[in-house]
Order: sequence, then C-alpha cells, then structure tokens
Amino acid sequence: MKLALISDVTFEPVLKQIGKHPDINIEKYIYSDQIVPELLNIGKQLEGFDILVVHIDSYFYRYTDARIVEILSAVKSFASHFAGNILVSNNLMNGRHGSILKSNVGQLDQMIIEQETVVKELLQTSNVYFYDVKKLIARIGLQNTYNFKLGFLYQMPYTKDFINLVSSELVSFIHFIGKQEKKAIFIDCDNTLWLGILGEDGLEGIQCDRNHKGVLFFQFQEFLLEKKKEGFILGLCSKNNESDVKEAFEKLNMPLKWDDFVVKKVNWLNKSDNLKEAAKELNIGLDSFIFIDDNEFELQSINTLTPSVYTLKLQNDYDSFLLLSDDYSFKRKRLTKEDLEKNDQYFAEQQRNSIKETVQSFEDYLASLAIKLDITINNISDFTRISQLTEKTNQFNFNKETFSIRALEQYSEQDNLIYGLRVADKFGDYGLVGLILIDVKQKKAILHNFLLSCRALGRQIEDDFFDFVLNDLNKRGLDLNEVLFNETAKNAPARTFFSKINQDNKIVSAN
Amino acid sequence: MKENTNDTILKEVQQLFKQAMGNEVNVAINTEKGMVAEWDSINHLNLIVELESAFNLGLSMEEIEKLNSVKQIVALIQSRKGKSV
Repeated sequence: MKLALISDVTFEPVLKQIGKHPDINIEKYIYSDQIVPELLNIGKQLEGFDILVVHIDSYFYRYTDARIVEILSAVKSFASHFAGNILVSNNLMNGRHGSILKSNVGQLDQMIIEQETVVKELLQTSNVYFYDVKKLIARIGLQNTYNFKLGFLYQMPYTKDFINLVSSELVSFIHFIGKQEKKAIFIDCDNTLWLGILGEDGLEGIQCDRNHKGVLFFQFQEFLLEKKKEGFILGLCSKNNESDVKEAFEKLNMPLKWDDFVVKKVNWLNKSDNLKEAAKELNIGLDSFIFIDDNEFELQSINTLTPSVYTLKLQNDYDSFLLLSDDYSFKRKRLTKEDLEKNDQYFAEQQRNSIKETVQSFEDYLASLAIKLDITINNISDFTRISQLTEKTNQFNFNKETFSIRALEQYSEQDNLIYGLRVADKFGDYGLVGLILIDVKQKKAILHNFLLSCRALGRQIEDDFFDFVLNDLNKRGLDLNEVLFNETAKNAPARTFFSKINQDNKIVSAN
Repeated sequence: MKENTNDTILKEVQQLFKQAMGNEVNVAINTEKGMVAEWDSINHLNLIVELESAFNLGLSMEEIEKLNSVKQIVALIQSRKGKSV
C-alpha cells in the first residue's frame, strides 16, 4: 500500500513504527506548520497513492475554531480530486476550550457537529475517515500523551506511550481500509454468551444478567445485537444439544433471542466443519467470518483447519471484553440502509428455501416468488450502495474493480451508463443488489462490469437484468460489442454467466 | 558500588541507543554526538523519547539540548537516581 503522510507535528517517531509493516510503504512525508497550502498544492504529486494520512494536533497548537474549519475545508477540497482514501486525526478540540480532561469528550463532538458544518460534510465524503486519537488520549490521559518540552523544541509533543498507541491505531486503520469487511459473527455458547456450562450447570446455573458475574456476558450480547443492527449476520456454533440452547434463549431474559441467529450450528460435530457448512448456506466466504469462543482448543483447531476464519477469544474479564469489542473486524467503513435490513433478508431467504422444497419445478418456484425488478440509470443517490457493492461482491462479479463514489460520479459524467438493480419478492425487499456499467464510446457500448450480490443469485435475475440493459442500449441506438471479463479465484458464477452470453462469440470478446 | 550502578545504567543506555537509532549503533561511555553518523537531530529526538520513557527524567529544554555525549547521559541519570533515593 502506497502511503503519504502530512502532519503539523514532527511525525518521524510514528513513521518509524508504521514503516516496520512490510505491506505499508510510506513514500511521502510532509511536515509543515502550513497544512492548508500544502494540501491545496500537493494534488498532482499524490497520484497513485492509496492513502493520505492527515495528522493535525489542534490541541498542542491551540488552533482557533476558524483555523480548524479552514484545515478541514482544505481536506475536503483535496478529497474531491484524490482517488485514494484520507485518514484525518479526530483530535479537533483545541487548547482554548480547556483541557479535555475537564470537559466531556462527547460534548466536544457535539459542539463540532453542531457548529461546524464542514465536519458534517467530511463525514459524508466517501473517501474521508477520522481515526480516533481522542480514544487513545482518553485511554492513557492527557499527561501521559504529551511531552510539551519536546513539542516546543522539536515540534514533536508526544510521549513514547502515545507514539506506540497512535502508530498501532494507524496501522490497524490502514489495514482495515485495505481489506474487505467481515460479514458474519459466529459465537460459542457456554462461557461465551453466558457464564456457565448449560449441559452441566443446567438453566439455573447459567448467568447473563446485570449482576456482577453475568454482566460481562449481558453486555457482550448487547454488543452483538448492535452488530446485528449494523448488518452483521449472527450465527451460533456450539457443542450442545440444540433443544437445550433453544430453551435457554426462550426462558432466560437475555438481550439476544434464538431468532437473532440466522444460522444455528448447535451439535457435537467439529466446529470448523460447522462453519464450512454455514458458509455454504449463507453463500459467503469463510474469510468474511469472525468466530468467538472462550476455549483455546476450539480456537486453535479452527485456526488450523479453517485458517481464513478470523478468530477472537473472549475471556471472563472485563479488559478482555473491551479489547475484543474494539477490534477493527467489527467496524464498518460506511453504514447503508441495506446493511440495516440485511438480517431480515437472510431470514426471508430461509423461508424461500423452505418453499423451494414444496413446489414442483424451479420455474414454478420462481413464479411463486413474484420477483419484482426495479432498474435505475445513473441515479446519484444509489452511488454509495453501488460503490459498496463493487467492493464487497466477489462471486458474481465480472471484474474485481472497485469504484469510489467519486469515481462513479466521474464515470457517469462522461456519458457512460450505470444501471442499478433493485429486487423485491413476496418475502421482502433485497434493496440494491445489482449493477451493470456500460462504457459509451461513439456509438459503441462496452460492458465494463456486471455484478450481482450473492443474496440475489440463483433466481435467474441476471438474465432479466441483462436483457433489460440490451433493450435499453438498443433504444439508445447503441450496440454492445465488447464485454470486459477478468477471471478471479472467486468469480466462478460470473464466469458461467459470461460463457452463456458469449456462446456464439458473436457480440462479445473477453478481455 | 558506584561503578557498578554506572555500568548497569550504561548498558541500559546502550540498549536505548539501539532502539532509537537502529540495532547497528554501538556506543561506549566516551562516545559523543559528532562521532556517530546516525546521531542526527531526529534520532536525538528518538533517543530523548526513549530516555524519558525508560527513566522518567522530566528533562528541561536546556538539558535536552545539552545531552550531547553518553557520559553526560549516564551522569544525568545517575544524578536523578541519587535525588529520588
């Protein structure tokens, strides 16, 4: 990853730490007390960079509100013509408002959000992220963060503790930005979702409540419930009798309910086999799984047998829980409406599958679903979701090429066509699940990309969507004479469809 | 006795030099700033950060600027230790 860094404090000690990671190449570093002109002038030099880190310390320099707004506006204007992502430090409080130890950090957030519309705008800018310096300062305290003498002598106002913290925070964030988000969380039951072993201690021996022994597990369940709302799929993976676990969820008043788990692998089989099975059922890769257990043996065996699953250990102590909940694998780059609805969609999917078994033919089944397609063209308000689709979709994806929101805007401005597909059936609304990009050059049309979320696969929707686009191109007097297709390790379903439309090698040529 | 403590301090300081300036940097009690290529201003900063973290010296700005030899560093640590005992 190609990284540039611009900072108003001497940042070499931090760079030294970050540079130890072989996948992060720091290729440009600018220290300047004039961040604004630097940002406005740096444009061309940062072509081809993946990430720009902007580290500002308004506390050390006691910047005025107006100055902070000026810097953030410069970040925003730079962001609009930068193809990579920008990470900005979020310690936007200044010395003039007094010590953050005295005032409430949340209030400062509020002050900024209410008063500075520029922060609001930045939060909505697709390639700008804030990395959490305030969290780090809150963790070790202001006194252990700053060494003002070093600040005045070298413009490097930090202690070693803080240098270490901010370095590892930045590394985590950079890795997070570069990787795909996780999609599913699978959790063990005994001593993970509650204290105690159901099979030995019985229902009465299980604790998950607000009392001192059960509170950690209670809060862990509340945390998982939050994650579910953010679009993570929850699953159980536990060695227990399914009826016992179901009873526990029904009889104990815990934050999570039995139906919150989309997949339940409660049996005595090998946990990694269970996870493989679950991956198949959900139609997502094991590399988007998080697995949480208290048992070192289970964790090790999953690490060995299914190494692409990301495992985390929950121990019965509060620090362990705090550390776990802070893990970047639980974070979302952006939350969309579809994320919040995804869980309901997977449920509808299970109902669909049960119908599948009772109807006679697949065609009957499809007809019984009453599938409805809704297709938009160059609809700017869909771009957030479309950009996310280009990043997350693996299986039915002609090219694993990602588009930022900005890139989509530019693409559509050049007379190209962006077709967005919404699908609904009698069980529910899938939201925006498909995309076709058409390059338009003179009277020629090139299919630049075609992708369909795995949630919509297996319903022959791709044929209808493709036909719609062909018809629409026809109406516009355009001929489709090329299709770009790149084989990846994961896109076999797209390959199948590509072969189908390319049977006679007539209108299309592979890239 | 005093020799021994100074030896221990020197060993720790040598280790901190490596952390601040790189593993290949070896200093002795007689090493001064101009004698080590790696001992530039950025690495001086790194060294001060390491020293503050290891010995909690609370150095003043004058002290930070004057610490230009290993001997001075060891002596300063020694004097701070003497005070706190």
